[in-house]
Amino acid sequence: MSTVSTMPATGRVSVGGAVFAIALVVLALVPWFTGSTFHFHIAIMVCLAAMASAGLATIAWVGQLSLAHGAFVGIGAYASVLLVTRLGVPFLIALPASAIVAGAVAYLIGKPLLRLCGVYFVLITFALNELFRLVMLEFPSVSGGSSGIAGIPKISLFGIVLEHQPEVYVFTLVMLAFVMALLWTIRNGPLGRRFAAVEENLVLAEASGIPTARTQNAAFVIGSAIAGFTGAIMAHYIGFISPESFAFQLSVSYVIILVTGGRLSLAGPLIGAIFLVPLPEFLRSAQQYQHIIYGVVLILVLRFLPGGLAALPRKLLGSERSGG
Amino acid sequence: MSGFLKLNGLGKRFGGLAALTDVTFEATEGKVTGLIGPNGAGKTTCFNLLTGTFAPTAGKVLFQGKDITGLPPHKVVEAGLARTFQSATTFPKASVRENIMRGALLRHPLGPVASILGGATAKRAVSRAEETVVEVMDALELTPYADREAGTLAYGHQKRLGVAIGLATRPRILLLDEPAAGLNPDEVDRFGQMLTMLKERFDLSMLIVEHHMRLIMRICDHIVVLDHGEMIAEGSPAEIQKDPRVIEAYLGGDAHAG
Repeated sequence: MSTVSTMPATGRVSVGGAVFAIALVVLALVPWFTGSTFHFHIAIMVCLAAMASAGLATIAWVGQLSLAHGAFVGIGAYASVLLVTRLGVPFLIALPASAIVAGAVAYLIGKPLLRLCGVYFVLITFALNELFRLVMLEFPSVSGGSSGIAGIPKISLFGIVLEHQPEVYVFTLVMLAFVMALLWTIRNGPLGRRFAAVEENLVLAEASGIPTARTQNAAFVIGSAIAGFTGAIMAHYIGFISPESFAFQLSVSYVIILVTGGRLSLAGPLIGAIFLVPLPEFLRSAQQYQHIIYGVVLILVLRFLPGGLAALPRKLLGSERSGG
Repeated sequence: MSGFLKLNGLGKRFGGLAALTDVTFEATEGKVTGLIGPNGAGKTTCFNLLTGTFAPTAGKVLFQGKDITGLPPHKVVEAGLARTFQSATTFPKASVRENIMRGALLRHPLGPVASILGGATAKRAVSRAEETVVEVMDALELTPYADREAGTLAYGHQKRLGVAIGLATRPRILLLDEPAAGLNPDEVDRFGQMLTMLKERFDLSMLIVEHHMRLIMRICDHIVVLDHGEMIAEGSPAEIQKDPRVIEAYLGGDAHAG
């Protein structure tokens, strides 16, 4: 698996990594080849979904699954929109601020709730996601109520407004690269080592002197902050948000992307988003079957690729059996 | 008043059930203390109170004069009490080296920035911890398996790895929870020899919870006997073997050695 410091496999992994990187670059360039605005739009949505799912992956690295991830995207979105529209804060400041707001909320929630493990944590986060939606609906002066907030100003950087899709796409790509680089650094650093220890064996990690509760909360805060960060970009790109935009379905779609891509690998969220986000767009004519298609994909992945699509090359090469 | 590891009137109730009542003894520095008793005597409860898994409902645990009662497990380890588990307990997907490293890094703490972003400070901590890893791996004869995934090791090796992870945290005392469980008689003997060797090499004290009488009698300097959650005897192995209360607890009320 892709745990820290598995030295012997380095040679093969770096060749595979290079192929993967080239494939990613080529895929990222596709919209420019076709020149279609629609393709730019899909590419932006892929980046945003990958970014949010990468945040969810961080939480999965400590063995927890959050069904409130959509709500944290919403918290970031509302934080940024309110800062920009009500207080006139520049987007470049509102963007990190929205990540901090989402992270702070996660910290406060995570401290008591991360005592719960497995299905209990999943259930309570599910309830929190609904709570977020209902509370926001209760305060229309803040959230715009069920009609939401429309006409959100576009992303602007140092006075340059990103009017068109290609510009937004470049910005989103850079932000995605930044988030992935950050997560790569964390994963390969001391904290990532603790994450892996907690995920593999919580009791032993604690007995080895790792403060497991704090470690899990760190992952929850980082992952949720990334969700908030994504939410800010999403809100200013789409231009409209409402409490319903961040309902339970959004959280579920991130879980599906993550599980399909690969729960424990860094590339998993990227692969999952690249595979799943364009799917319904290209199957527009079959839109009523969208959820069925998602469901079938999920079942197939869980049955045949428990490590997700990211584990596919290894499986095809038949090198190792992963311990799942 | 100082003492090494002192249990003072330790008790634990689960609801209305008294699992452990008023247990008081001391594990002496540099010695091996055994904690024995029939099934359900409260050995495991006592062990869990020491390691911080549960908080006691009465009494205190003092370690080198410091009150460690009710500290969470990771704080107990930090104070110098490492534990091992009854079954083979490892980080299954990591290499043997990495398993031990995760314990060794306890003694090389980092600030929040260095632990999130890594960098030179973090690298230095890892390379210093590496010394401990190499030493512990060598002592437990795990060096040939350094790069093997822990989950693929044989059961006996996994058990040794469990001890290695504990040792890597540089404890003053090692708490062993039924180390002989799941081993055949031959392996038990070797495990016993290994523990004696580790005690010398790492200047350790030990507290062992165990069923296996031969192992206990061979390596312990002092034995504490529990029955029905209460302490019924303590003394040297020779004294314990002759103690009528202990014989009664093990063989039942009416039994007479025949």
